[in-house]
Amino acid sequence: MSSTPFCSPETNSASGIARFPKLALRASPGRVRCTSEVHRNPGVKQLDADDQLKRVARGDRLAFRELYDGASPRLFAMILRLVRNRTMAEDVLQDVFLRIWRSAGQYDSGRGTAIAWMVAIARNRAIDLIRQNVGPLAAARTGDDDLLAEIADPHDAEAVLSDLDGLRRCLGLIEPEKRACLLAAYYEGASREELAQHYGQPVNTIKTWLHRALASLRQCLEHN
Amino acid sequence: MISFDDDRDLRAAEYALGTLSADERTAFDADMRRDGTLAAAAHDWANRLALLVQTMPEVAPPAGLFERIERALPAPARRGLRGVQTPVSDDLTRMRRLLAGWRRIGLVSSALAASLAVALLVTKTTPPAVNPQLLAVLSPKGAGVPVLVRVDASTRRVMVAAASITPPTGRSLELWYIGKGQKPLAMGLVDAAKHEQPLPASVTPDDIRQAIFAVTVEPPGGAPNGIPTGPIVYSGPVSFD
Repeated sequence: MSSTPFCSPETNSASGIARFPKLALRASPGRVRCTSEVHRNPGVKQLDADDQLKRVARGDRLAFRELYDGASPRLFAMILRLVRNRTMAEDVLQDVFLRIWRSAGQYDSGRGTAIAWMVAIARNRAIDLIRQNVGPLAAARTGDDDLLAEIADPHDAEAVLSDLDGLRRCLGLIEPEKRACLLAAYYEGASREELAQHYGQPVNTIKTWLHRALASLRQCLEHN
Repeated sequence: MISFDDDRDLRAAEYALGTLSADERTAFDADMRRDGTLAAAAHDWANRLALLVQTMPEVAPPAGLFERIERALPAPARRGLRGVQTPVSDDLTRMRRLLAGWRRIGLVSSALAASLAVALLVTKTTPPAVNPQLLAVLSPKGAGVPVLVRVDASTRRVMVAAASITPPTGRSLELWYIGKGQKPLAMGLVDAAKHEQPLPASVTPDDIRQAIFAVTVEPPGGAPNGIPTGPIVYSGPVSFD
């Protein structure tokens, strides 16, 4: 078992500005936190999830429970950060798992990992909600501080796929401000408008930044 | 392969990133249904970016949420309730459930490998009062009698009531101590009516209360490198009262 440098977004619940972690607020080159304390457990959880998802597709409720047990903490963490409201996050997670139950037969292991498939379902549901402004921006931060503190706990270090090293390296090649935009969008669900407001830039500039960041990321990952 | 300069791919990227507006998302959803290559591009981006989720700290959903989800499922098909599983997968399922239980109560943030080889970063919890007698009931795979493991926290001895255990021909059974978020620690062979072993020095009383024990089938003499290699035949968490 080896350890490898590893990066994660640095979050801080004390941030006074809604929807942005300090990662985005400070946009300095060091905002992606790296550690060498991560242990690898490559792909095992992923293999579990693949197998479970295939069984779920056959209507296996035990597998569904296993899948839920394994994947829900990660999906819930992501959803919670996007919608910023625990009740709503619970509803989204419920909806996501019902969709997973119904759609498990559509999962194609040849086209990506089971985790990525479920993350995509969860993100799409959560992003749809916040883009329709069904709460998060309007949703008061009041009362969520404890949740944010929970989220801001030291990151989980498990099951880092080898691809993450490549992603980290590629993120490191993106200019800090653009990288911060990209990560704030992914982790916090920041919209172009919110990023524009935060950075004091026109929305089109933010769009350009995002496109450049994404272009750089893709180019780097493809040459990995 | 679509050129990255292609607006379509940028749209797909922003869709996966989440920065499209509500209207743009609706339009993209509709376009994806008509255009498989667009859907594939979005899918590729979702895959690329999903790795970022691996870096996030997990947050346990509330207890009872799964039951809520389950109640919303369609009526079960009887066939679906009987999963076809091998004995090994039964064991792994059990182990995963144990770990999932920990996860739900926030003690462990990660999963167990089939090989039990797992290592996590774990934060220390406030040490509870030490109970000198701790018990782990190790459930067998399939039918059989559970194996009892007793831990005397004051003497740090681990005792296994193993009278009912018979190793498979030509194999050994090995006991493992698995602390919260830790790699399995070999606790010796389970080959006698009474097996007794000291806890490793690194294990604290607090650790014991959050540990599980497991028995695996190993080559004769035990796992060669101190890492379990065979299927789990018994496992159970340490309990205390």
